[in-house]
Amino acid sequence: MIDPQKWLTDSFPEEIGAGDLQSACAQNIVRLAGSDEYGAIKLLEARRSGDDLEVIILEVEVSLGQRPTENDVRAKEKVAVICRGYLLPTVRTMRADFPDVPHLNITDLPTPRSLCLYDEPEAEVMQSWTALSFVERIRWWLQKTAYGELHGEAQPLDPILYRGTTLTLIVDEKILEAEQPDAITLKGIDPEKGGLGVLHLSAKRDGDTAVGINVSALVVVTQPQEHGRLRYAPANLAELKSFDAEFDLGIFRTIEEVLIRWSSEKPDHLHKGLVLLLVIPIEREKGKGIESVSMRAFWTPNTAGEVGEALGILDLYEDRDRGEKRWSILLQRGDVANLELFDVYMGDVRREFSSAMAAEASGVNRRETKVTQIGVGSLGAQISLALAQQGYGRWTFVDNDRLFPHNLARHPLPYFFVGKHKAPSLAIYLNNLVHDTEFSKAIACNALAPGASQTELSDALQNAEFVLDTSASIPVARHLSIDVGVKAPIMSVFFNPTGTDVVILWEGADKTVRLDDCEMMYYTSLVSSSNLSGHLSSPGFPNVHGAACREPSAQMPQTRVIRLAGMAADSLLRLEDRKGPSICIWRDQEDGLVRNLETTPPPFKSTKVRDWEVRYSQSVIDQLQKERIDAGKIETGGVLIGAWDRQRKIVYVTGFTGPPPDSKRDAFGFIRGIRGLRAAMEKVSTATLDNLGYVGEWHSHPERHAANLSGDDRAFLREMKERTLLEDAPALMLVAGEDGVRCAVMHPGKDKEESELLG
Amino acid sequence: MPTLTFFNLGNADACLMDLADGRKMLVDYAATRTDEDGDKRCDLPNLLRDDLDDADRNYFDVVAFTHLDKDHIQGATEFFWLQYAQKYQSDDRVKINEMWVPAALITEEGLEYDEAKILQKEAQHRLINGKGIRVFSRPERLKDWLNSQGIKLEDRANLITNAGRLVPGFSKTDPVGVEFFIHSPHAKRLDDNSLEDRNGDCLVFQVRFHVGGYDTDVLMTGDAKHETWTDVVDITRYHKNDDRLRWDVYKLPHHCSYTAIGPDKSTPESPDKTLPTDQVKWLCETQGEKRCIIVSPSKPIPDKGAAEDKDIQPPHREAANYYKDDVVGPKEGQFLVTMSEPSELKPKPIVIEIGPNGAIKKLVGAGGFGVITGSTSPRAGR
Repeated sequence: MIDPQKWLTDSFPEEIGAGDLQSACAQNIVRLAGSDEYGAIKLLEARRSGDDLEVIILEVEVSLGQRPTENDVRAKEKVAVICRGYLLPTVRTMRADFPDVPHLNITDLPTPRSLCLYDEPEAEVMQSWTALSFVERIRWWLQKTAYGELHGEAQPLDPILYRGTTLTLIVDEKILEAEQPDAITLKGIDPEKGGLGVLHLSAKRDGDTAVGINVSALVVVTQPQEHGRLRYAPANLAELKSFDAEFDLGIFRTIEEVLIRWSSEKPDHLHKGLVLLLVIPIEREKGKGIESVSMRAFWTPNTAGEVGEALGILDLYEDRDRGEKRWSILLQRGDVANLELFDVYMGDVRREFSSAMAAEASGVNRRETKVTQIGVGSLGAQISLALAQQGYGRWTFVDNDRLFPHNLARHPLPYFFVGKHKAPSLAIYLNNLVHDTEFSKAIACNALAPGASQTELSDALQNAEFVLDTSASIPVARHLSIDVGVKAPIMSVFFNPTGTDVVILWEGADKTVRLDDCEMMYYTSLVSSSNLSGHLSSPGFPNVHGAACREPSAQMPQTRVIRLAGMAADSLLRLEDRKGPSICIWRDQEDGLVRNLETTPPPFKSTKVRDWEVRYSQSVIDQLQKERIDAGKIETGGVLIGAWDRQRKIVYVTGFTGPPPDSKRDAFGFIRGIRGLRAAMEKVSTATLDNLGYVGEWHSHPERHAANLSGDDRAFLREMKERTLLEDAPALMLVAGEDGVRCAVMHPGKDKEESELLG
Repeated sequence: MPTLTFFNLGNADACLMDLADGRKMLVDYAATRTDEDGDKRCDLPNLLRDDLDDADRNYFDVVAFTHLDKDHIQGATEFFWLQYAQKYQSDDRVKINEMWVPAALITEEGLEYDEAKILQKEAQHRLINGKGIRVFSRPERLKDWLNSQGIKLEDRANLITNAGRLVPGFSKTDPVGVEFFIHSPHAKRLDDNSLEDRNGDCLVFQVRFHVGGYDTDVLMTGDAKHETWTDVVDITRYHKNDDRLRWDVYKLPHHCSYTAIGPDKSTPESPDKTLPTDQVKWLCETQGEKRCIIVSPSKPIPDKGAAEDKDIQPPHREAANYYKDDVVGPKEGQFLVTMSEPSELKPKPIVIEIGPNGAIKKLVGAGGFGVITGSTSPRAGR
């Protein structure tokens, strides 16, 4: 243990008066010590070194209560404050037995313990430095150290060894899983700087041809160590050995074991340079559980065999049979060389970016949900990129598009991928980002016509835990939910045509509402909600039915894409665990993001009427019955609103209108009028961009009458049939009666209806 | 955080206790400052009024008068709003929700000091009315006096707390985290097993603050003499209540008088240091915690041979030497004199904060350092 008094007189031989101090910082501290207003420090002496460093010795009153302290810090501590000009002074304790505690500076020379007072850069500290704040900081450091509170509970633990300066290795977590990794290629030498720059050490990348040096690596995982102060890096094998002995880490024991094994099993390793990867688990308090892992690399310019020779365990001999030199084990341990002559360079070890690190940095839980994502255009790719950077998912991307220059305005992929398929490019990009095993993969195919990828796509969809549809295509969404019958819940995310809104349709984790039904309820909400006016307005160029309503106009700034993609990604995380379905619309307005809608769509029912499937929500049926009852003894009616899926022969009934005022209604019949009907239907088609419209007629039968079709009803159906012919659809009629709502369908070319009673 | 404020009043006592729940308690009140130049004693009434104004109130929850000596009550009848007579009820007076007094303060006869007589009348008035007062004594001791007022003892028993008991209405475990254990006035067991009441005893109690898992004990000692300590220590140890005489902060009795330590200020064998009785030795040397704090509510301790050193009045240098050398010295504690902190030139009230690490003297001028001692918040996004 160094004698602080001797250090003081050796380093600062000249005793001076307080008035002779030149350093402004020292002068200010001395003034403070003399103040009647502040009694926490007492000036004991002032000294000067040969090179104009000044030191003032202070007795500092530490604010300690009576609770027993964790560390031996006393109520009065003597410290040396070393000053030069107006630079940040440093502080050494003047007590030889001051405890070895966290937050002491590492010192390369034997000097008294040095307090690590700030974690901000000196320039920032000096910005607001005053003698009072500085002394209070010392007192705070001492008080917190006394009670073991200086290292905040939430603060990560320090590594034991201070960061090395010669090299930085980036290590795949997987290297630590292997018992002893094989020879490893260190990559990424910086030829311009002529030295070792940032290197890349990976067990999995042997195929790479980057410039590098071949080394043999061995890993030592030590017993957990208690959090303590930082130590200076060993500079040669002798210092490494004393460090090993001080903490009983077993480094040299492992080195010897591995070198001996290599000599018989992998003799070539001994001819390469040696890298030692030291892994030290750190506990906040002994036995309280490992909280962090400190990793350091030691690199020696000598070969592994030469190190073995220095340690007295290996010997080089000429193998005449093979015509080569080989290292062999010495049967009797030889002399240990002067280990101080064997330089060791300590390197910083950084972990590869992984989903675990991503989640930790984001402050979220890592989730390994298997997601199959259909469509990785700008919106889809931004969502998966954002989620990947938060450590979310195991991804399979499906898309047949290629990346073109114009995509670069909004797509996260860089120019390098132009001309390549988006899906595999994104997988490559993310796998280079997140170094988990099989983080992402891709199928470059059209989800509607996968061709040779049929089986692969089918597997990807059936094995997924979550299907994310960002195809911006209604046919794809319908295909996934209706034709493929994906078991996992599906979420569709798309922009509105003007690109101001993002829409999230979610079936629910329990798939209570099918995606196509969600889609219908989404359209319905556009009609009823005034907040959403203009949601599906035309962007100013001709629009056609179908997919176009989900594709943004050609002009949409990336700033908006990432805002809305961020909201969609957040919604995904929020909704993923929600059992029930959801429809959510976010709008980007000048004054910020606004959620315009979050609604829970009702479950749909389905009834087959011959070869047509009628899908409807119970609430439509209930409302029709209510209209009937309200009308009492006379009949009422109107038109049905919904949509046809002619390809799949599905009719969706999402709503209805009441009787136009010019309708003729009595106890025996209902003749629907026309006044106001066209305007009402135009409103529906405008609000939904023609996705909802007229699908048929409805009327009621009065009290105590069943919903059976009358002759008039059949005649009306026949007339309707002629009109719906133009729509490639059959005539549809709902009749509400005492026994329920009957659904009748009459096909073009037929004169007889088919009918079923709905709920 | 609870705090204790000991005011620099010369040889006189006043201690403000701020409890964690905002309640304010005052132990003794002595406005000793004069208008003379160079009087370094603080202006107690104005400091207290300022403090109450800051808290937006005009009352103390509790004011304890340990006894009726002038140096513990001086000016009280000009400062407090008294219930028993209208002339003490002007708007600028400060109200007392509950008055704490030893029984002697009610029953003592032959008082000469006017203010003592007034305070006695106030205490008596409150006891007769049956509210706003707590008396410390064996209840039997007050029986005759209550009878003379036509009041039955049973009807006032809820206002009387005996030595060896905790004061009701406070708990170490409730959010306030404080309790008061009464040591004196007490009854002494005589050889014939009867009890002798010590009529002259002042109020002595231990305050226990419970903050952040640590109990900080403060001994408020009135002007207890070594004879009182002999009884209190013996009785407390007899009842195995040793921890009720444990202390982190010890408010010295009688302004650092040797009489609180032993019978002789000094002896030929110990010319510069008062020798303690066995009980005081145990109380001070065994029961004080490491880094304990002793507060002497007194003038500065005189240097040897100085004029003040010859004064028979406290503070006594020999008594201070005992506390410094044999009590706080080995415990790395602090001996604080109200008229010497932070300096004799500019004394200021001593503020002691009670926190999870115990009692810590607050430094003058070092208040409000959250910004300095806390780390600057780093900028995110690096």
